[in-house]
Amino acid sequence: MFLLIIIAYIIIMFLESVPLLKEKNNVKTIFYFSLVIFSMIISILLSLGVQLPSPSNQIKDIIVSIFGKSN
Amino acid sequence: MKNEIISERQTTILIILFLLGNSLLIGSGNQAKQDAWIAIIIAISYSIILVLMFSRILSLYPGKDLFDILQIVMGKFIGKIFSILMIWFVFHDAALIFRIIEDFTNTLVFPDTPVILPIIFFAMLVIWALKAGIEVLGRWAEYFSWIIILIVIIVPVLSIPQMDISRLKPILSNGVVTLLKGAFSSFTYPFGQIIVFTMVFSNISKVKNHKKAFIVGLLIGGGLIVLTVLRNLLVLGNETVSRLYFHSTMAVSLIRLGFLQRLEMTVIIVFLVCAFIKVSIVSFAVCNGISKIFGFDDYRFIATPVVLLMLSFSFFVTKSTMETQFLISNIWQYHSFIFEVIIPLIIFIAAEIKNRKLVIKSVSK
Repeated sequence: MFLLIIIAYIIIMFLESVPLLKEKNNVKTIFYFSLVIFSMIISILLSLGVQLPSPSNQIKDIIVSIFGKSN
Repeated sequence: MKNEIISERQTTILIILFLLGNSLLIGSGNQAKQDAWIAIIIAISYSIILVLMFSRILSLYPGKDLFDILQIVMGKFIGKIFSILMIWFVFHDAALIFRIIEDFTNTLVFPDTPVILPIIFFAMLVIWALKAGIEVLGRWAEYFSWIIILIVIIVPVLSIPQMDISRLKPILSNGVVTLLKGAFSSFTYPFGQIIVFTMVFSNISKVKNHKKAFIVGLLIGGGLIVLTVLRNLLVLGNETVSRLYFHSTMAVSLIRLGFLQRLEMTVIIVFLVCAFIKVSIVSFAVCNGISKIFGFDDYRFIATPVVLLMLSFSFFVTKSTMETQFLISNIWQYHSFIFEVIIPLIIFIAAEIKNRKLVIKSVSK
């Protein structure tokens, strides 16, 4: 299953990097590739079923401790 | 990219459809039980004040959006930190919207399909809309707006036979405190989200005055939400509304007038169009912000990774529909109050002080 995700991301990277590399702006290319690889890692981790920590749990704990669960 | 022009009417229509985004489906101000409609009217009046503040900030620095203003008013370093906070808030919001779309699709539209498939197509459309630019989105919204507004006005009229005005009574029986809680919840979601528009509107050159577009859009969008919430309360009653996740579908499925049955499709169409616009504009804000922080002048090249990241994020931001419901009705209002009211207030005060100093300097010369 996660092979499909890797293949899909590689296809997206190839399709999008062609106009980027033509622009010859190295900073843009590096930034784009770092974002895409980060997104790919998170997708692969999700497809493998890893429980990623969700920030809304922290926010929920903070707000419940201030306001209480009265609502 | 700098030459994108939206007319004032398209701005108003974008704001209306943005506000209708989720509230048509899950309602607004649900904590006030049967007084939810009064709570929304109170929330509209408070959000007019908020929106006047936003348009004043934008008119002090014409042609710039919130990220530019933050860096001008507060200096580069603090401005970038505040920008990162706002981008984080908007990103989290977008992931929640994706989550609501997924919950809705999984529960009512395609119960047996793994939810990733329709959502991936949705995300591809959002990426396409981002790469096409806000001008295309404005024209598309203008084209669809008449259908949506007509549906939202006509369908409640069709359900008049099922309405029972005694379901609204007793008015204010839960006390003023619940009413105010409902008004607060409705004020932050959906009306406070107009802050997203301040992050997107640097590209409009035909609009001289944002005030009119903001206020007209707010009033019409708010009025349509009040109409829908009233319809839901009158048809279903308070008990059912507090038990369901998606009230409008149930309310519309009760319409039976001769051949006009099973009109839930209208609810789904309206929700999809409005949710698409909401997600697109919020994604615009995120891409715009990220490209402004890192100093790029183009926001289109990071559209794909940002939207895919939002998609992955939406799968683990909450673990279940019930948790999403709890988050939205109890927690999100306090969390977003900081970003929608307190930070813009700080920016407003700082911008006014800077403006006074400039005026005094130019007068004294």
